[in-house]
Amino acid sequence: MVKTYTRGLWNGRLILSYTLLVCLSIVIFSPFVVIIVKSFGKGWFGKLWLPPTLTLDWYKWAVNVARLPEVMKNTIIVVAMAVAMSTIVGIFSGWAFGRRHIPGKEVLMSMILLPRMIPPITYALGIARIFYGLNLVNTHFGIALAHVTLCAPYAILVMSATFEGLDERMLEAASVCGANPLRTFFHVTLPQIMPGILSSMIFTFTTSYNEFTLTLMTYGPDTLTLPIRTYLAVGEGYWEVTSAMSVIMVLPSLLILFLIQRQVKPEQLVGGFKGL
Amino acid sequence: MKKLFTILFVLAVVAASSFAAPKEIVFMDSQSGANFQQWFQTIALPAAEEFLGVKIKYVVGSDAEIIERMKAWKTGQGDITVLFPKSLALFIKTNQVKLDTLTTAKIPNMAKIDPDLQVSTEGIPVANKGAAYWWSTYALIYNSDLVKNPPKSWQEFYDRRAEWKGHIGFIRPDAKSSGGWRQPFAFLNAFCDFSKKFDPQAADFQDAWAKLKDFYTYCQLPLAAEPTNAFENFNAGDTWITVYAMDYSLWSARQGTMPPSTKAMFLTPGIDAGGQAYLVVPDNIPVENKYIAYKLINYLLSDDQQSRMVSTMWQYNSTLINDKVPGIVWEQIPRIEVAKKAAIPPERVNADAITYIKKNAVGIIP
Amino acid sequence: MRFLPSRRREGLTTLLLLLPGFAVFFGLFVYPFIITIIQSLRPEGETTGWTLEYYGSFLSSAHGQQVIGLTFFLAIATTLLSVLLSVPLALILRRKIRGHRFFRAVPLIPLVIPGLIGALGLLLVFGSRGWFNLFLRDVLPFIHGPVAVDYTITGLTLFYVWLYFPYTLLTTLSTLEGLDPGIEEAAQVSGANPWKVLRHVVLPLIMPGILSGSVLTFMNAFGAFSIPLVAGGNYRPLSVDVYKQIQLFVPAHWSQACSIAVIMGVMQVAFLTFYMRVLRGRKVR
Repeated sequence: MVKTYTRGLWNGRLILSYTLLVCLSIVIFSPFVVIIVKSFGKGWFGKLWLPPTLTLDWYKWAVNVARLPEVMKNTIIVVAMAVAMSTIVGIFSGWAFGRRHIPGKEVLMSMILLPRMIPPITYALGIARIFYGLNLVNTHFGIALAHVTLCAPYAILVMSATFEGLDERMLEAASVCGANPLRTFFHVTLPQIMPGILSSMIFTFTTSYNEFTLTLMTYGPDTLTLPIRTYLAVGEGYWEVTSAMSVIMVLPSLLILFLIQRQVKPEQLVGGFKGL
Repeated sequence: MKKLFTILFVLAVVAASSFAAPKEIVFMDSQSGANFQQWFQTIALPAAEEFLGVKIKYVVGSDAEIIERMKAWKTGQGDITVLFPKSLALFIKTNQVKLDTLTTAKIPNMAKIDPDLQVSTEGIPVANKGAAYWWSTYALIYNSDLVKNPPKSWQEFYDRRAEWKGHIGFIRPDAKSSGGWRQPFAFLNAFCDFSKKFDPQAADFQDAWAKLKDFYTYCQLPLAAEPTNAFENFNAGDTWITVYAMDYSLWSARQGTMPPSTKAMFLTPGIDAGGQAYLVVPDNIPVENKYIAYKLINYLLSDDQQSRMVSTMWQYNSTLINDKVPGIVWEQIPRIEVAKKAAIPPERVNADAITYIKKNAVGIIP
Repeated sequence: MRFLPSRRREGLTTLLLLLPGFAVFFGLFVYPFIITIIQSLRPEGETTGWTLEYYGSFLSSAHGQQVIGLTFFLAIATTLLSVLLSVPLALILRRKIRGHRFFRAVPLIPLVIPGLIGALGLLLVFGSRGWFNLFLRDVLPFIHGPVAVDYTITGLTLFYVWLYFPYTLLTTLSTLEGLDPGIEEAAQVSGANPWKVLRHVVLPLIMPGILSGSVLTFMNAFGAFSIPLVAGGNYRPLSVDVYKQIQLFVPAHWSQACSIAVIMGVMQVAFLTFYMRVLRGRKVR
């Protein structure tokens, strides 16, 4: 009896697989769908599947009262700074790790990941104290700097992998053909490392854009970012407006997701836990 | 000689203009819910900007971070010109922050404020450290589709509690919102005498406390952690009847974020202590900013502005201008005299009792 | 620099290249952590004097132990459930069934959206009038609803799994795909049925992948902040407790907050070291 049952399960495994996958997809997507619906719905009271009327009121509120464009501007400034700083750190350190001899490289690489592994709230307090003393709280630069703590490890990892994979022979070939170092750099090296730089920038962008904990400890009224503003909106209790803000906030991330799922291998997203 | 005078004149003008009104001031708000954030940003402050000729930057914050910020100010360099705190009492109690004392000499319209509102806040004397901007009260908020015959007194509410078992929306007493203590305080006030010195062992308080404990079991459980959760339950139709800020609830109903059948009424002997919100000027700011602050507060206390606030936001004015408010407003909300009578009188707002509730009510929730 | 021996020069250049990275690491991580530790040992509001009272009071109080227990419970439950979910999913996804590209992208979504928004959406879906309960009401009415998911411990765990299972899934999947198909074929040719192949051949081989992914899931679940802040209700794990110390009290309880933060960090590091040992042990075998 059990055998026929298990045999039946085995034979129907394709259907079961699809059921599992579809259920998973529903569970993953439904929070977003409901947020989208909520952001456009009006009068959604009681226990209904869908709101009875649609409206753009909540988006108007988000723009006019919550001043989302200003918040967007703050977010972009912070993210741009964080990405720039992290990429520079990543390029320098990545070159060192990828092409130079460093004793204890493996240990150092694991150490670099520590800020991502230790809960940010633990050192965010220290960062807040330091920044208060340096008057860096409520500045775009301060928040970006805090973000670099989380973004730099990613950037370093990706760039060191990129530089490691740089093909020496092409560089040699270029110089044999008579190219000076500058030309070699622009025409040979750069195209090779560009995917790595782009990949690193995408990761750091996503990390900084979505970063909440460190921002919460270093922000001020002049430097509200999207995650913080959305969180404050939750406290205000207007789920409709919160949903509208969330939709606006999530669009760039989903766009990035669409871009990266074609280019990048999934395990790189996970942070490259090599050596384990 | 003429040249010299011209130069001196130009220099004087430049000096005067640089000493004159700053281009932008900051209005920091930790009191307003979403409704009043909209009010300030889209109606009140733009009108003030036009009137004063100064740009006003509206910023939302929380008391805790504002206090930290103010503590870090260098002398005379504070960057908040006008403050609208959630709890003036907290700022008065905190030693390291100083508030400017406001007088009718600085702000003439302060003379129009109802004197009752300038006495004390949360049991702490105001001492003119703030100018009352509005007076708000909680009310019994109910969904008129689901509650056809709401109670008129706390006693009736308690007696008929079985009728609404599981549908009464009370918040956890340890919620961040002041609703956490206001609800049980109003309940207890109906069953014992808070005008006497508070004694947790007194027989009448013990009785009231036991009633409260029993009442909690008839609320929708688990108790909502914050008002936002209570409103979510209200909107879902799970909670039918709750006690919360009247202005917020009615305004939300008209906004479409609460059911249109939402209505408000008062319970005897007192639905709420009622609360004033105060406009405050920090002491440690540049002098020229203080002048602007006084003018701004004066503007907000003007008859026209106060009247506008009542009619738009269903929030009670702090100044005595009731005869100037259009009659139609009083068809939507009870007259302020009625509301005041329904409020718990100041002599019964017992600070010790409130502290006791804040500490111990968590222990009796189911 | 030209007069230095070339090896020295190499070393110096390397050092210079590493300088920005070290500056970030030490200035923005190590130093703040030290500050946190120092603050945790000072009496509240003072700048001198040492005390261990905040550690003592937290670790010995019922509240503190409850919070620590809650945090561990959430992290462990999330990790276990993630593994249980990830292994079958990985086995399914490695076959190139129709639509596998789409289904592979689906688990990436919780990774790229901020946890806050995921939490909001989940709260709405699983609320008392959310689609989950409406589904139960209309499609499965024999289940007496509404089922409370939001703000319950089960619900919170579910939210955690939703957010953090992709880590386990992705590493499991990539390890699975890295397996030499010849091994499985050999096992099957030797007469083992598919279940035996799975249990005795495949699973042991992909165990490192599962474990390394589950470490990430555990660590993220242990340190989760925005989700329990918004969706935790009365359940406050360590991270939220830290935040409440400085947010709810005026003046803020910096020392208490820092002590809890240090406890949290130490536990995380301890767990990580232990886990790495276990993994290394497996590798040697």
